[in-house]
Amino acid sequence: MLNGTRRDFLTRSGGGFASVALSALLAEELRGATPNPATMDPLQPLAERVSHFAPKAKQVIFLFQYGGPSTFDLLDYKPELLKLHGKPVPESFKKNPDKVGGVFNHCKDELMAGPWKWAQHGESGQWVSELLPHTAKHIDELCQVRSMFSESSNHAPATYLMNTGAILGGKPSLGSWVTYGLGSLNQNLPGYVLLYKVGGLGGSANWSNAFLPAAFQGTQFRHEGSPVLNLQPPSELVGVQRSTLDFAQALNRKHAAERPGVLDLDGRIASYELAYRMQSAALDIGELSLETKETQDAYALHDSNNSKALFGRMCLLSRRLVEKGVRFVQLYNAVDKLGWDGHDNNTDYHNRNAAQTDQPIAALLADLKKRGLLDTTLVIWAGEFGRTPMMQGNNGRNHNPYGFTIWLAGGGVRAGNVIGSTDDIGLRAAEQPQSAKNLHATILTALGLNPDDLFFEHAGRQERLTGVAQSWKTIPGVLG
Amino acid sequence: MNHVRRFLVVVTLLLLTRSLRADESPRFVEDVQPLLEAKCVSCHGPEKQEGGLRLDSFAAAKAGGESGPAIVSGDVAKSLLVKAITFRDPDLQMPPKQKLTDKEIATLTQWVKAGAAWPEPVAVLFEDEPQFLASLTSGNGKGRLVTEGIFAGKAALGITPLQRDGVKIPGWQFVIREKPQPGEYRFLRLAWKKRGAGSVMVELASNGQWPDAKVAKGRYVAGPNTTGWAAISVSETAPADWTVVTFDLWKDIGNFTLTGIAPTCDRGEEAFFDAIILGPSIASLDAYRPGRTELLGTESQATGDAFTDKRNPIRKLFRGERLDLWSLKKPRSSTLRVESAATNKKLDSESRATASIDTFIRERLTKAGLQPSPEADRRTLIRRLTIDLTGLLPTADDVQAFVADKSPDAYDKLVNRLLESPRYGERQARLWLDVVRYADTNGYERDEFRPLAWQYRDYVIRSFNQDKPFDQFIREQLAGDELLSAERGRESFSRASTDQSTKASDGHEKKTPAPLTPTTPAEADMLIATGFLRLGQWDSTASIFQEEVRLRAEMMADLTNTTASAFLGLTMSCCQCHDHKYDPLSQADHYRMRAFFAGITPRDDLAISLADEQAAIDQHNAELDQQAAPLKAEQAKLDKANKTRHEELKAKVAEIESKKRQPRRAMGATDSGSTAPATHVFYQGDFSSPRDEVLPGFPSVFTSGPAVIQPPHSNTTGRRLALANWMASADNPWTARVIVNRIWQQHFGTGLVATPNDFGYSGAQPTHPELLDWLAVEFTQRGWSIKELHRLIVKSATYRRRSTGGSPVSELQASRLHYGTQNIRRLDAETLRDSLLAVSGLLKPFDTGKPLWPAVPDELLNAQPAILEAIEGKDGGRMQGWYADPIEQTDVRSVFLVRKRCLPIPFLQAFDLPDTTVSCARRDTTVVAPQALMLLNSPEGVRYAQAFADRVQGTQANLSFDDATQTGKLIDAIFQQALQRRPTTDEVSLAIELLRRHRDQHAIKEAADRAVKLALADLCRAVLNLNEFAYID
Repeated sequence: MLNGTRRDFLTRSGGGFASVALSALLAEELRGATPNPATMDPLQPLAERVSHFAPKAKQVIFLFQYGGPSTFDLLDYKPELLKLHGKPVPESFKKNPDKVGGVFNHCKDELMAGPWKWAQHGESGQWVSELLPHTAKHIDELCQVRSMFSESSNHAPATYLMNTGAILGGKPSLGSWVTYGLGSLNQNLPGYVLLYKVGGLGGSANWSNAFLPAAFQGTQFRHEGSPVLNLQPPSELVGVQRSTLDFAQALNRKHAAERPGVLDLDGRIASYELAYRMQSAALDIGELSLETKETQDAYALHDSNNSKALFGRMCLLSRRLVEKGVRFVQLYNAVDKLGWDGHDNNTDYHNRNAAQTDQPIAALLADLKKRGLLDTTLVIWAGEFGRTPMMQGNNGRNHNPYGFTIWLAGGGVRAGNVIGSTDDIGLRAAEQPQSAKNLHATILTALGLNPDDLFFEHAGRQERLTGVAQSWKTIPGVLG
Repeated sequence: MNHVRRFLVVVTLLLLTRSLRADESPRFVEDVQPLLEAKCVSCHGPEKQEGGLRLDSFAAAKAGGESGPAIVSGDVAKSLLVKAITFRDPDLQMPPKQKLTDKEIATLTQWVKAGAAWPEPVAVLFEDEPQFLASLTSGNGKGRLVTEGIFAGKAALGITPLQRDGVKIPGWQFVIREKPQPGEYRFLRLAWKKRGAGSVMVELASNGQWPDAKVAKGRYVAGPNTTGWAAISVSETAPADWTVVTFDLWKDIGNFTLTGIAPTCDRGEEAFFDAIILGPSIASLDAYRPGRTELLGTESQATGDAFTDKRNPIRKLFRGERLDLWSLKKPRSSTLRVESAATNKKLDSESRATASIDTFIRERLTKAGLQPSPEADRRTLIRRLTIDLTGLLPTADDVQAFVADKSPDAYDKLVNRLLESPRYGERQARLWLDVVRYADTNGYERDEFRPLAWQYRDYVIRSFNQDKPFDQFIREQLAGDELLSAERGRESFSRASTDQSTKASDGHEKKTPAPLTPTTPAEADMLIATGFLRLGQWDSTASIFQEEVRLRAEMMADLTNTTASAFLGLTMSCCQCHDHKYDPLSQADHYRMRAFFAGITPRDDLAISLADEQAAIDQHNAELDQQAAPLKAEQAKLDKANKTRHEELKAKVAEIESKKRQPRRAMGATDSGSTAPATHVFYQGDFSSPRDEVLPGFPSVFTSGPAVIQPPHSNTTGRRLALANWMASADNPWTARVIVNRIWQQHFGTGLVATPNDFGYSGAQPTHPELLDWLAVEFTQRGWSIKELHRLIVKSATYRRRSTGGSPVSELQASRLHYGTQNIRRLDAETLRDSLLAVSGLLKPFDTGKPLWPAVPDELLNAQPAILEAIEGKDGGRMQGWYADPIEQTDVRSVFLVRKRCLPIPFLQAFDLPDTTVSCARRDTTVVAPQALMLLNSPEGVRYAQAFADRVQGTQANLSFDDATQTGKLIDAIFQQALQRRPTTDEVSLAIELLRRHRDQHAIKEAADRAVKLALADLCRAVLNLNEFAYID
């Protein structure tokens, strides 16, 4: 946190550093209101900040499942659906008017069970489909929420909702809010890192800082080559980088000295030094060859399935990032534009995506645990919505925002717990329906942040990830 | 028939009830709740919880905050609320700024004493709402709203036999439970009466189904039941006068979701129903006073403004508070003593005007005990002025010429030159495009390209360059189509022949009349200007999942909010779900403004070819038709067997048709006709819960009635023109102040109001209210000329002051806050890139046309799966992709680069490019490491440095850096071009050292001449990364 009074901060800031925060503060100053709790040092926006209360988790890995996985084909066992395979949808499921788009419109009036076998796993004896043999070994560590719902049946709005709390886009993402609230644990790396081959529909608005300061934007970490775009100049300039910078910094220091009290200028000098330090810190992260053969194999780095190997690299990178103190890592599972979005052939899509992601995710959980990181790292597995139990085309499933499963594991999570349920055919959340807002509130709470106290003054409003104060509830049973 | 009598509360209520309570203890809904909301909840409610306390629910008030429970029922001494409002304890006095009146204190105290009854909220199903009647979509009876002999409010429902019914009423999902949670209910109360013989009945639908005819669950009847449907009997006789009945739905029916209702009347004359309310408890129903919905401000009877008319709904809603908001008062120009800087001689009006600014500023400085800084040097001045007015750096020659110009009007000439430069409009447009959240794509999943959006961008550039009066600029953007007809008189709405069914890029199929054909470029611009109405996001996939209603509601909200922010500095987004928390705006005000836009339909077919051009096109096409006619005739007669000839004719016709010319088209909007769909207030902002209908109206604080609207022709509503005319008026208290403040911000880094999109209570107060008003009045009096406004500001001594030096740091900082010293400002994303291009000699002239697409790395294209779909050619021609142009074509000013919502150009994005979802009032200027990486290492950064080096080197061959004089010249040129100054001796020696060392280092791997070039580029790269390059004094 910034030392000294707020007045100092205001005057030291000079010509508009972090001007949004500044103008908000200035506006508050004039009204005599309380300061924004997340006031940050403009010279070190990522400096670690004290959470509102003792956190259960310190870091986050969010495994985003793009396209909308059919979760009753993976984790939410529906024996009734197996029985009703090939039959029309019972009338009792049709009567409720659907507020969001209609799920029945593009589907046949025919229920379709997945072709996969189910078995009970772990001490808890929970059912897991044969699509996830590796995740099944960790089933007792997961806390499943089986009654999530979304507010749109379209990819972009639903993806925005899961990532930013609003279906409209243009709001800061979960990772931005978390790093804004807590800073990061390593000042030489970005606080919020993204790993993807293919991102989510709606593009970069899914990891945007929006109106929060730019330091809280998601930075893409590449899975091959130079880990961060523009981390280094072209090769022939690498050797002269330091002395080029030295020349500029010498002039910058003189320039700043002639303009005392303009904090931006000092801030920019510092930002160039950080950029320089980032080069070595980020390059180290990307050195996966330093990992043992055993670890590399566990993550399937050398698997003949290239897509699986690629996702394995991303999972391993995310562990290395967390190990180095990056606050929030988000991974996108998809290696092509299709993801889990099995409109035309649900079986193929799910075979493919499960094969790519199951082993690496299990390896990540095991690795985090082995290194003692799982206790303080919250791992989240969630897509933007689920899929219909009705058949679309001949073997497809359509989007279904009315009921789907996500899971959490690690820091502070009550392992092995199952919360909520869908109806007998997996169509709608039945018990304890949970919104994205409640999920976000739960994540923030795990990190020691009070969702209502994490706000930013913007356009005349106190903006929060979770919207109007007390309009959320943490999902009961997730946090131990 | 089995008449079941269970728990029934039947209260025969005299109409007098409401006036019967003169000396009773205060009642929550009428007396206490409004007081808490007006005085306490803004700091102790959903937005803020000062001291950890909330006073918006009983549980929260009882739980209290850090100091303990605020309310202890019946115990005045233990209730901190009472302690605080009485000001007995010097450390606990609330509200802190102004003590409540004695009467208000007594109200709250007595209420606590009497037990602090705090009923839960109720759901009002019907009070006076016509849409309730409309939602009863079937039944063989007739329904009407009656206004005579009603129970409460303004209207009651009259039903003729047998009934009107709605089994699934939109927004009805009322959960009925024994122990209702917040948002759930148990009891239903209504008032009914029956004229003549017969009975009155109400039937309730559970989960979208009517009750079984044979079971008396879900029907209540008063009087002899002849319907044949089993019902719970409330009384043997029908109520001849208004009677209030209350039903315990949970006891009678069980747990269920109430989705519909059927007011029923078995025979004879009409039955009447009124005040149908759901509540979680009897107490909550008792606390509700029927007839309260008038507070929504939807009455048709107009009232005067809230300042003078006590009947004004805003006055009622906020109990007369909130009317002292500074921006509600019309700007007034105060008279002031204008001091002459140099002599006492009479000032001409121009000098007088600029001196006025300085007088206002000096007044504050003097009060703060501060001295203004002296005028900046000439180099600083021209750099500052050129960046502020054109968004580009001056050239070294420009600076030298200005420094050398000793004439007294050298500065004035410079100002004039810059304002007349076409670059001025490009810069000014960029800032306006921020405010209107301009982008070239739809956003959301597919994020398709809008091929015609750029015409709006160029229209904005033209408008600023032409110095179009700002009031005209407003009218054109909101209602250019209506304005065109209005200005030409009430002509018929154009040629029916151009009416056609078209598909706009957002997927709207429509058949709408075309507006008038423009006869001048200025008229064409009026149509292009309506592109403003189309700039928001648009999710073209919404229709696939039947989400069009939601999408339309979002679009209307977005348009309303953007319009209010951009032109009025009003946060209309804050009163979409509830009355505004700070400002005197009701929820209805949001929807009243929204109603001005209710008629619009998106158009991609606005013909903007001028009349003579259009005539030529028509003639050309008619000639082609003539050529084709005989061929077509032959085709028609031809024997079908003659395939060869048939194909031949077909090809010929096609060839002729292909020569037809199309008029130029623009993306914009018109109304779809003379009427618009009804606008409803959405309960809690939820599009699926429409409530009261509203008519277009200006903020109720000024007048609660509907706006007076005169359609300029018979095929449009005229609503938008009415809105535009109201905004574009010197009488509007916001419009001029808001734009004047934006222009001020452009020149000083902050506005006189630090929150340019929020002139309400939650925004900043003006630091110099008299100056803001004076500028606003001056601006409108000078014909709303933006260029005049710039001139006024930049000629002031205040603008020209130094940004640093002289005084101690703390004084300088204080002085900057008071405009005694200029701010040091970073170039924004576009200005930085444009300056880099200009300095490195890469900048290509370009001043109109389709946006250009710079190449971006493949991995960024992967961020958006829809782009990949396009790359694979699977986007059905929707233009979802990224269409990179050759690199040399994209070295144009950044305002001409494509703005794709889902993929902002990375180089610009790094430097705080604003989001395009909502209006951006002010650019962030953060300083983060990725900016350094971008400028130092990116292909762009390296390329600019290389080009700069090439430019500096010019035709000089055989550089070596051994020759100090020759090298000194190069260094001098680098500094002159980039910084418009000569390097110091120290800088020269540092630079020489760098050049020689880098040359030697590069020479290890590279040939000698290449090593020299690389070293020179290194120096250029260092200079382009300097703070001195990125910041303007």
